[in-house]
Amino acid sequence: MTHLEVAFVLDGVQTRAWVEAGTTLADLLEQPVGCGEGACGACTVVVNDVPVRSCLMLAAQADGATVRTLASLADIEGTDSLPTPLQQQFSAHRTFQCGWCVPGMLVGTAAFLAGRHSATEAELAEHFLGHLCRCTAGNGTIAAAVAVLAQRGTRP
Amino acid sequence: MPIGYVRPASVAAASALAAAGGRILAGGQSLMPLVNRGDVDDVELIDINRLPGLDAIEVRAEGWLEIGALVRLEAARLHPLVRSFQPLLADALAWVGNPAIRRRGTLVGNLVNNAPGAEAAAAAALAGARLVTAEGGTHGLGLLPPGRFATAVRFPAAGLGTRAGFYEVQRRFGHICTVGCGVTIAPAGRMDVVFCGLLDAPMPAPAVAEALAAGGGDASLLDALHTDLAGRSPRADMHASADYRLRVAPVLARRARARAEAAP
Repeated sequence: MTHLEVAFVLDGVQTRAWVEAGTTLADLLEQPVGCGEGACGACTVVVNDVPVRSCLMLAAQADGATVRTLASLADIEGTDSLPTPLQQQFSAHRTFQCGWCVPGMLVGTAAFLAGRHSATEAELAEHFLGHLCRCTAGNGTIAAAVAVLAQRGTRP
Repeated sequence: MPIGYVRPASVAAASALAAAGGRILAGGQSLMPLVNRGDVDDVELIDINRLPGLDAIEVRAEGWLEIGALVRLEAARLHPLVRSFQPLLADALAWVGNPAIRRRGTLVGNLVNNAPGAEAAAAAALAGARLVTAEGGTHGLGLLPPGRFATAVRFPAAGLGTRAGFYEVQRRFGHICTVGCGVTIAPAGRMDVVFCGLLDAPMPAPAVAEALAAGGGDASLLDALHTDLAGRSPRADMHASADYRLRVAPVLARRARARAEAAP
């Protein structure tokens, strides 16, 4: 069994691990995995500022990278408040149900909203295509994202 | 047996590792699901993501639009040279997966994977695109023979002024394509049609193109489709029967044409 040393910054902390070559980043970070093929988005983390499916990336590929997970949500949103504006709106729109999709949904959506003051309906729909909620909270998640944008001053 | 992982320092080193039986890992959006399912095992994954020089999109003097092996699907879709010279590829890529998949998956990887419903492969097949190998020479779409490593894909830089549209049906948006159709309309009016998801490989459809250009209805489009199929039966799988695929294809051809006509 080949083991590789991987060093990366995880949620602001320099981290080092020995992993089997075939270990996915999702397995190393204990992210929820819904589908294992990139469709559901539950395992989304931010690697070097790009949201990625951690189930479709080997842990070894994160060597030298900056990785941010749900623990960095406030950082991704650029806020000091906890719960973050996105968490508050997810709660207000009753999107926290079984919870499986939530870490990836929050991280992916925070990355999508980063730096934005508006988003078209088509952009929002396309973004949420990549974050499936089997509890049918889908419309609530879109409304929550719209509410976060509205708080920033400009409606989509 | 376990998966191995290696990050070569040069294209030549990657090529040598491929010759020794390794599999190239670029965006991983097709390969990693196979690893996760255990369908790919006991193989060395050759990570090319940090190799320099593979992320260019350029028009070459020889008349090729060349797209490097590390160009992501979304980058190809949005690139002005792709939109100008291969507008069908650009529109087809809009239907692939979801934004997160398109930002990580690569065009070359998608064409090597060459799934039956792959939209980009349909555009590439119609254009006569070829994979460029590190070892020299070019190769058709699909998995390369052992030891070959595709460093780029080469399209004819021929589509200037062409309008193009792609349309497809999926079980749900963002899922794989059940049947898709691409239509191009050249400046002089020539129409070309290609389908994906009907057969195991993309199918250019000259008879359908002729019927579509003549303004034929679904019945004449279906007749033309039978001509193009030449006795071959459409795929049947858990997503759709062969009969469904036959019946939906003319509808998709009309919609793809409308999309092409609405293109700037």
